[in-house]
Amino acid sequence: MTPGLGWHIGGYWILSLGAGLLALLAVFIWLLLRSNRSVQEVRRLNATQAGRIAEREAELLKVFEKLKAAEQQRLLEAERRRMMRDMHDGLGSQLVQTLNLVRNSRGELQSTQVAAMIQQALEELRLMLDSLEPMDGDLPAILGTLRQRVGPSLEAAGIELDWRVEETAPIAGLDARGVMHLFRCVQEILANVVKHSRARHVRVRTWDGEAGCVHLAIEDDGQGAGSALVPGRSGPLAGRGLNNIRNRAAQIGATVCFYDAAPGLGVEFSFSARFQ
Amino acid sequence: MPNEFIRIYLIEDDPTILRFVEQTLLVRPQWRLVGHSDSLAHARLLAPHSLADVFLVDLGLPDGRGEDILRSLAIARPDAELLVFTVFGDESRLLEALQCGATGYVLKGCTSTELIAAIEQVREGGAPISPLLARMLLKQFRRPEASWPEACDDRPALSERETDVLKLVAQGYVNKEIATKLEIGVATVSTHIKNLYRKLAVHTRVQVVKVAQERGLL
Repeated sequence: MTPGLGWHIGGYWILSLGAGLLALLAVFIWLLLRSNRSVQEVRRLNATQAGRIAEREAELLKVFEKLKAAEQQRLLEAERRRMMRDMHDGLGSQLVQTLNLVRNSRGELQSTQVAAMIQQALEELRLMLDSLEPMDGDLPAILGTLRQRVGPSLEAAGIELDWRVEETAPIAGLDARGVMHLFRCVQEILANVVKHSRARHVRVRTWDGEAGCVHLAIEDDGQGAGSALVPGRSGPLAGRGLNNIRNRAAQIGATVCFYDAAPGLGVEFSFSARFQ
Repeated sequence: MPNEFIRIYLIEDDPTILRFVEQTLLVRPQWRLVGHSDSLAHARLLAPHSLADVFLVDLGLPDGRGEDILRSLAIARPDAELLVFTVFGDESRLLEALQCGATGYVLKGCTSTELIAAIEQVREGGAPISPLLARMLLKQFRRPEASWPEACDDRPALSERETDVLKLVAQGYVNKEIATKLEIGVATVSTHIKNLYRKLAVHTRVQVVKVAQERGLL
């Protein structure tokens, strides 16, 4: 072998190695650039994703706010409807009765009669306003407030009130709406006592029962229930009055039980501590 | 004390109430209506200088709130009775009126007999109260010191007996029943309630005197 051929082969090999290294470097650079692009792409995608998430969050927040506003509106509407119904059934009908009495009197009206009816309307309005005072489910305070309104009519009928109201646990169902339901129940019971029972005494008791239950009992010493407690039969508490009391009691999470208080009639409300 | 001579000053813009008070006074000829204001401005000018024993104050005057004149009268006439005349007896507003110096309240729409009874009750050292108002008072006295208007050095506190009375009123018991339960006189129950009202108003009095002193008015 000639020395020239050896140089030739060595140079060729070096050239090949150089070319290989260059190719490798080029591939490495290409890979580096590509990976950099990928990282950038991932970052860009991440940023887009974060933007989308923020957008979605903002949208969800808006929806939540709308739902909250709608719920508040719904509650306000329900409260407004309740007050309208109460005003319609209570104050409104009393004012209409008075107006009709005055219009149809043909000059034979007694001012004491009109004054009594207007007084009743005013008491009804005061009762409604009482129900709106914050009472935090405090049953004794609610009953005490009602006593101020109904006490005089019992006294006028010669019925003595035996008040045995004790402090009780707060009742969750007695918000403004619940207070009005309870007012109406007790009003109806006492009105029946005055009109039909011929009682001389009415006893009002409250006490804390088992498992967080709170109880309210109203008993008179009148002529008793008789057939009134049998559904479908006539009597002082039969029919609509009895059903009204049951329906209203159910609305405030209370069960109601009518019993023979020998000699009179007893009504017991049991308020569940779990009612919300 | 039906024969006692009582001077009454009415602060009220409704003429029918003025007529009602005049009619009521016919039943008690020894009582006199010594003054009448139908606006806050007029009352501010004249009422504090009146020698009336009882002021009947409407809270909704055409040119301002009755509470403002109560504050002035509580300072100018600390010995007089300040009865608020109110349609509904709503407890939140009554509590504010009591803090301004009122010593009682009468519901508008009451009968002459009821108005006479209310005036006699305050003159005899008593004070009207409702279960809701008692509940609010219990809460008010239990509140932390900072929540009292214009913090005073000595925060008013309820005595044990006053707390018992308020709790029973809040449960719906009437004065006679409370007296029996606590084995005290009916008049004592009323006195406890009136003392509570005075305690509530004492802050307002202190506050008003302080402001007046600062302004060089006293």
